Amino acid sequence: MAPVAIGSDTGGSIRQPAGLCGITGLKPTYGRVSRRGLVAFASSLDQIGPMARSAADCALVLETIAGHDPGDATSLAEPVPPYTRSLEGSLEGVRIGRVPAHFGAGIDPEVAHAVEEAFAAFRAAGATIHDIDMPHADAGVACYYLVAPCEASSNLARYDGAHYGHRAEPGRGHRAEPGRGATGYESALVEMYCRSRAEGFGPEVKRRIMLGTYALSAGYYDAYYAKALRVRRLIRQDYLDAFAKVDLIGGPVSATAAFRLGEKTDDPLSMYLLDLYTVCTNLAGVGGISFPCGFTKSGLPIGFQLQSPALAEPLLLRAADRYQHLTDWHLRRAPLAAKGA
Amino acid sequence: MTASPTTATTVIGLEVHVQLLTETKLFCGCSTRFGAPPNTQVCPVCLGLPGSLPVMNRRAFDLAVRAALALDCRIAPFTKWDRKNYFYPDLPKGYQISQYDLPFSSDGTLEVADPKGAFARKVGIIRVHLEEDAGKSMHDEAAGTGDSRIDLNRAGTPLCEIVTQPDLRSPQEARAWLGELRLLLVWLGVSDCNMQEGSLRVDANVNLHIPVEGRVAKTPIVEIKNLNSFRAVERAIAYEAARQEDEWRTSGAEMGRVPKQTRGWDDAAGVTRAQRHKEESSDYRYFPEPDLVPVTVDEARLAGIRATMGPRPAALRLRLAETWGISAYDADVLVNQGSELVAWYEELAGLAGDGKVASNWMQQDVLRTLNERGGTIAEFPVRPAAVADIIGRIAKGDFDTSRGREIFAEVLASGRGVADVVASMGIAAVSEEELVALCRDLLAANPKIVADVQGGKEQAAAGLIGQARKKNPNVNPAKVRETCLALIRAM
Repeated sequence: MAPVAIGSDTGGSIRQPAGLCGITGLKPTYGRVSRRGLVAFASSLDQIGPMARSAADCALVLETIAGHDPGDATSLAEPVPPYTRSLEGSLEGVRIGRVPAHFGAGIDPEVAHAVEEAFAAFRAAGATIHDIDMPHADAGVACYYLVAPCEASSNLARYDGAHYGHRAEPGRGHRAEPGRGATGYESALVEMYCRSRAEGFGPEVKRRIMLGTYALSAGYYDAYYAKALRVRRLIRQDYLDAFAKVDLIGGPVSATAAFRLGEKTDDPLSMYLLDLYTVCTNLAGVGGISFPCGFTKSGLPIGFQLQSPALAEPLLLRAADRYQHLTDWHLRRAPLAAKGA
Repeated sequence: MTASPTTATTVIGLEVHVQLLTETKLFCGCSTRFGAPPNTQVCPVCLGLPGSLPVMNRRAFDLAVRAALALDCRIAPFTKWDRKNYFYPDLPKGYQISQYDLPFSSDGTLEVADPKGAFARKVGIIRVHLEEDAGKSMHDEAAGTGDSRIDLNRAGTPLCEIVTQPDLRSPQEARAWLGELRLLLVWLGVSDCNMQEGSLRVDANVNLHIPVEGRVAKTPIVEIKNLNSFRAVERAIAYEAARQEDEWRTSGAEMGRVPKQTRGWDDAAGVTRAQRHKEESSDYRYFPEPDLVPVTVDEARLAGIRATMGPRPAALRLRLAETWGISAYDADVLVNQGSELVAWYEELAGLAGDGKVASNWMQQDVLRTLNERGGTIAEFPVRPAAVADIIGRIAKGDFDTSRGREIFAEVLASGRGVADVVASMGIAAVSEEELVALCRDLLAANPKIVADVQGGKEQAAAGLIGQARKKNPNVNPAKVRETCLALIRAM
């Protein structure tokens, strides 16, 4: 339908859908693309990036949208390299890390197989593969599901029905009274706030607002939010340690291929666990790209993820582009999509 | 209960919010001008629209640092922003960008001394931090509909919060200290401290220390809000001290056993009233503001700010007294009028060559006229050189001080120069011969006075001065007296 699109990735929302749908999606380094104009969910994690058929197309889009914005205090001042030209060159000597824990319990064997095949392809292209340890990665989901909801609970407070978006019609026949009126609300204004938010937010957003509000509350802050920030620093340190040994980190995007529509609605925890491989990239603020590396027997796309140090998008894009020159997974369409077309 | 009313000590700490004198808001480019039509000085950032992001105004930060330096605070080399979350119609983002655990400055002091020596108090500053102001809610109670209107022009205006130690000990001290704080901040151009326009707002924390049976009983701390003038601060604290003493006598409640209470000052009724519990208990869920980066402040930047500050009022009082030989009280009066008036005074004192006389003219003539006419010293139509000219002519004996005042009044009223006014008023120096001739005539016409003086009552000569001025308004009274006495002695 469109050759390229842009999305925002807070814990994997570019890379995971790209992986599940068989396209290429890039989450740049935090601050590489201005967040101005983006409806903020979790400000310290949100990052805008391209979604396209190929890494080369992602490079083209990133070259256009990246750069410093004086209107976003967190955007980076570093100059923007010519990403499209940095695709040239081989992967000879490039060190790619492989995290054995990624292939532990919970991963679909078909996904594991396709990912290992991709590692083999990189090795064939001249890269070397090294097993590395990310000791705090398994705390990533817990950490993410505190940091992100805490920020979201604050960022979403402005959706009160007063300025824009959905506004509930006020109830009739009552006025602001001290104490509680006939409607059970303290005042018509409070009723408008409460009902606008109740009607306008979906269940998953409400769940996260409640999680975040709870975790930031007096008496819980230290146990939850403050601890999550400490874990976040440890995860960032894991990446610094890893990137002292390797140039990129490879692995699966998600443990399984796409799940059925509504399949996980009643089990949010299992849905959160699907983010296991993507959230740490955001917590550390580094770059990540996801691209297709095969299909399941039932014809669903499988994604491969590469992560890079901050601002190493040229290498990240080159590696993905090289892979897409050696394989054609990114050109194939899932049978389901092809049938529908 | 054994304590008597006189043994209780009133313990006061203040929380002061001051709007900074910036052209634009703290995190966007909107104007901070007061009095514009509602909601005309707003943009996506201060309206909290989706996708908008704050960017710090460096001028506001430097101005806040200037205030903190003036209060002898320590400036943190690293400071960050935090979100203070609460829901209120005039807070469009649902949170205020403020500073929580790492304020940009802390540990300062500001001294205040009563010029007549009634008290001198060194007040510790716990912290000064920077935050954005909220909008304004206008509750239309008169209309009876309960409608409220929101003006977001003020939302995002830079605000310094100054928190003192509980070091003040009386309502008078609190008022005087606030006066000194206002003087300092206006002096340095940090704020206009206009309470009517809300650019200076005060909350007071008050409790009593009552010696009782060998220990000190401390009454529960009450925070007083809605203090709209310095007079209100003084009255509210005095009221609250008396109320707490009464309450302690009946309930015996002490600090720590009951929660801190918030009371609002009702200026018309002259009482504080308890606010609803809901208004006082808040959980602001502070956390670091992820849309902004921390601010680092190095020594070079501090030096740059310090270099533009000049002497502070306290130092200037001492210097004026020393340089110009005026009393501490006079120096206080002059300095309390602000830096522009002090500059005016020093120019006058220099030209006139007499600091004391210049100070008298400032206080009796210039300040009195300013108070009557309104306006600032910068708008005053008479320049220091003109007043110095008048002072110089008085010193030369051209005319006396009361004649000088008439000249001053005419210069003020007509806008003409001193020499011109002197000439048109027919003021001319009286020669020695004219003076002697005039005195001879007077003595001849007043034998009784001559006899009285000869009888040892020199003060009788005063009766001659009025007559002399009637004959010639230009004569100098002291010289008339001197000459007449000499002539009588020579008789």
